Amino acid sequence: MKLKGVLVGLLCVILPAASWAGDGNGKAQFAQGTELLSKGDFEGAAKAFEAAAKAEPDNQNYQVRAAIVQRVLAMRQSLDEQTDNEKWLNTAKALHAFYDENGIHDQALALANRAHTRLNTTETAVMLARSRLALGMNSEAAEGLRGITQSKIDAQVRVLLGLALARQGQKDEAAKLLTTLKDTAPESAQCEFDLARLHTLLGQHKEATAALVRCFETTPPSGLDAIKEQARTCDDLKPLQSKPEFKKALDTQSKVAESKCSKGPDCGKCPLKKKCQGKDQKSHEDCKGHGKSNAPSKP
Amino acid sequence: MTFARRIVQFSFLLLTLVAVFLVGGNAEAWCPFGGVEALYTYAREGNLVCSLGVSNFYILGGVLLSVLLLRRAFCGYVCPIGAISEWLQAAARRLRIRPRRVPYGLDRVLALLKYAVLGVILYFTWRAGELVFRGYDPCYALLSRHGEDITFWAYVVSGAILLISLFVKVPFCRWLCPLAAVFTPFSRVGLMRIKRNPDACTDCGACSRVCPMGIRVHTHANVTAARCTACLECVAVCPTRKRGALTWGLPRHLDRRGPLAVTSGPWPQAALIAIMLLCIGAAVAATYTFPLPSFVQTRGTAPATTATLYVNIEGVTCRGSANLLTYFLERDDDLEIPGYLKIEAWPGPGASAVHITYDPSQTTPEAIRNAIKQPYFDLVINQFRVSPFQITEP
Repeated sequence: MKLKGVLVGLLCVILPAASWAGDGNGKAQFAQGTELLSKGDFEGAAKAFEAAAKAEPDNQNYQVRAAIVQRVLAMRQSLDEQTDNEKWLNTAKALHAFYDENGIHDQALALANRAHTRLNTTETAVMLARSRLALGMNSEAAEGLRGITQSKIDAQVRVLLGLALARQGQKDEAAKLLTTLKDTAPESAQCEFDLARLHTLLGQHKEATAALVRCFETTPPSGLDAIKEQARTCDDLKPLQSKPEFKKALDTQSKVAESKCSKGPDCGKCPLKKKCQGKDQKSHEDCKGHGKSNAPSKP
Repeated sequence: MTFARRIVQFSFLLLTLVAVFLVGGNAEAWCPFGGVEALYTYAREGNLVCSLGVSNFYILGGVLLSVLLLRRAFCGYVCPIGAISEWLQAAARRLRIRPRRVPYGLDRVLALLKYAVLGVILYFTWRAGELVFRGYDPCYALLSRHGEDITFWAYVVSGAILLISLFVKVPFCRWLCPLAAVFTPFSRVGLMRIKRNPDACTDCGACSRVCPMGIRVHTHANVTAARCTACLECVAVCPTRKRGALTWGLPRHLDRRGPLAVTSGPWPQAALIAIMLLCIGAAVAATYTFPLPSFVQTRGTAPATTATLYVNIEGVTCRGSANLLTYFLERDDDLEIPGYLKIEAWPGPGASAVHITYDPSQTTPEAIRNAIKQPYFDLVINQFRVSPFQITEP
């Protein structure tokens, strides 16, 4: 009887401890990977994420993270070898978005500088301005955006310039820029997001909320959670975040179709259903990674 | 005769249940109506709607052949819904529930409903390229693993059909089944038939009363009604069958009382079951002998020399995921596969066979494997998409 009691007692201690230790292994390595990544140590981070994924093969989050960081490592290498400018820019955009998302803003800035030096387009100027804004280099961002040829200035450039000016306290000039937007209406969710930030900095909360709603409506369903999370954590939007209209805006659903298979368990409720059937194959191909980036990157 | 038919019905139902619930098979891939639903999308795009396979076409072909030979014997011997309805009717008789007789005129009017059901299903399915009525399908509700796409209405429809089956003979088969509507033109010209000899017939009407499909056998010289399920209940019940009042067989033999005109004994039904099994067996054999891909995508023009990579991929479960595989293969980043590309897939549960034909002068099997496995940055949502596919060699 005593032996049985001892065994049961041991089991009660050992099993939870083993389970805790198992969890801890992956967790510690994942945390280590995240820390290394924030420091820009990609090789070290990849190894740590790989180890976390191996320690907990059922943890989908760990598997995904390990796969993405491995891919980022490969993309960083391929960037040096790529001769095709379009492919080079696409790789740079992917890396830039990844750096932004993970708070590696110095690497994002270095890459944006490299892209702008290599290609010198409005797109690369915007990428550079975005990195500068993320690091609080507002005057440099404004200077860079002012350097863009008048004919190539679009809504995105104006909004980012307005943001840089508003952050420097030049709110009247930023507000003036907003009035010129009537001629060049925002075309993307990214631009709407930045517009919401600008309106918020100018104290125009109603307009800011409306821009956020338009941003969410024009973001594909699979990108919606990420952009809403950005809205919740964006410093520029802080004055708006406590307002009830902001919380209401967060309930906005996407009004655009997915660009690719949503990877659901079946096609039952997939918003891509019609496109998968080839009914709208042409427009599907048009947006298949070739089109303009529609969803916002990390502010 | 009824006993033999019940055995066949029970065997097919048991086979389906074992395949679905124990083996985890996809019953939809073997439904002949699936072939009708998938026809338009397959003809137009070379792809099948989700959950269906080329097996649906083969089984549809096999069943239509059986209909051309035996009329709607498939309904009377194989279809699980028909079997369950008939068993309920038999159970009701034991419970002393008297079957309600539906007036002949009303029966004929109600029978038109199945064409409306067929029209509506085909219109919306072909338009959407998706099994839009799957969630309401009584067959799917009864014979699936009750997936999340089954709606409350599927159980309402199933319950209503089962309930009505207690009081009326096979209501779904007679009035609502869309597959029966498809069978009608084929069944109308069906080869085997029942012939009534007016000289031997006493006009007792027993044959008409016993017919589950409501055919007034005793008023016809030849039963060529499209809805005849060749159950041969009428022949079995005929008091003067030995005098040849009712015979079943080939028309020429029926007229001349040849060897293929039979009135009694186990042979008519044995022959019928054998023909039915041959038709279905041939369809199953064809599915495995000529396994046409149910998903085909081609990019560019084939060069003089091509190579094919044969792989099994986990995660290619339906047309949507096969499309996703195509997007990974047609990626435009540094892992892009240049030149000609043809993807042939057999989506299904577990690892699915995929054949990828490519231009060997422009790419390698390793590059293709990488394109399938590596995460892809989606510029539209500014996020990485991680490949859900695992490659296992064939």
